[in-house]
Amino acid sequence: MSQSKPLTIILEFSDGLKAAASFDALPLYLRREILRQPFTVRPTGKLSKQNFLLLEWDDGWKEVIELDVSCTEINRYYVISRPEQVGRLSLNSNNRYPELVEISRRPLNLSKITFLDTFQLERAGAIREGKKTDQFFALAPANDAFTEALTSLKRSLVEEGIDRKALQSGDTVGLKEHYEKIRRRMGLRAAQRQQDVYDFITYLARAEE
Amino acid sequence: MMEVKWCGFDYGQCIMEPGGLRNHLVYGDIYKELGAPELIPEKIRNYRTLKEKYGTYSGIKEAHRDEIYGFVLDNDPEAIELFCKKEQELLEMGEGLEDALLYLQAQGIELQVVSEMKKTLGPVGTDIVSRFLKARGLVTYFKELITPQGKMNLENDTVDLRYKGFTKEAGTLYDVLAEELGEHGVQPHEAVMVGDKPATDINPAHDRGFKTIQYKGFIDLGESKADVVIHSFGELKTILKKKG
Repeated sequence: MSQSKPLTIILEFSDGLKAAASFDALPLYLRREILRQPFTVRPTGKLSKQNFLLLEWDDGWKEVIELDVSCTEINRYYVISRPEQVGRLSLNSNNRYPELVEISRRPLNLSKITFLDTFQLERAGAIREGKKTDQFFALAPANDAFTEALTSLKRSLVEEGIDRKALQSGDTVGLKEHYEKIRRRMGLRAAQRQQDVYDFITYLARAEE
Repeated sequence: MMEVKWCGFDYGQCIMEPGGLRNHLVYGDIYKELGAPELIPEKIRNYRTLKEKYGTYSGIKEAHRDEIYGFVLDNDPEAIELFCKKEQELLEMGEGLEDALLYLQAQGIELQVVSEMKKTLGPVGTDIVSRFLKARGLVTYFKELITPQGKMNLENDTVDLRYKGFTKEAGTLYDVLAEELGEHGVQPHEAVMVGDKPATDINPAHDRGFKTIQYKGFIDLGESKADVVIHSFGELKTILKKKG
């Protein structure tokens, strides 16, 4: 972990666009993740015993973690064991490997998936292997969720008094307030990145009648 | 078979089980709702950091709720409101509870919730316990909630201050309870307290002559003076019956 403090992060896109942000404005986990990358390594400054956590396993495995110098002593160590449920949605891809989407929000309660077409999920058996159980779901055709979303968008635009053409511009930065109002009216949330839901609204706004 | 006229239930980790209250669900839903899903990992990490400071999540909620609002939720009023809503939504009822309550009510045994309610100071009817009981339709069985803040009537939201300042842990709340039950012709040995915590639900009640049942269905907090230990509320149907 570098002792000097990063100030700005700059991204250069292939079309020449540059986007810059204050490093401190990024979420903490992202700052940590960036500082973990090899390209951020700076010449080593002053080091002390207090900089390092050394972990050792019963099979002789050892790992080192560099810590912030503000750490003073070990508080406690414990292990949480519980059967976790994680949904794994894989999509075939033209790339060498499928795309894998992990779903942590109540995965057993997922009822519909739309990718090109809409499918209703129905439980279709389970395979238990020791302490692990894979619960499979069959996909049954269902009413097109895109059509329903488009209807919902139209209704939301009327209720919020927003012109559909404005959203067709795709100016999600300048019109963020509009996008937020429509998103909330439509009951849409982004799973990982807020821009995804704004892009989806733009797509619907541009869709043909 | 235990023959009783009155049965008191503890709230936390007894009637209400917090097993569904998972961080990725609470903070996931809050920050997706607020349009900032990118913040979810940081918020969960901050909440876990608070747990390391205070030891347990219930410890944070009991005495440091303001730090959840500040350190985790940045004092954002909308996030705080959603936190309270999600927290309520994700709480669960103990397994087999409603079936057991139905049986006890049919027997003619009077039912009350007896909660220490340290975590939920607030106006009558707005606290997490009475909101839970109302939202889950349990007011059908429990008309009153006895707490160190007073006895709350869940049907008309009035409060009887006779219990104010007395606690389960000190046992003084059971002294007041024994006195009030006595006014209705119920002696402590004709009353049973069901709960998970030896220090507040079982031992002080037992010392005052109440019958006691330790519920270990959610958490096992160790040995106690309980007359009986159960692991499911369904067992109450084979243990309790109305004293004639």
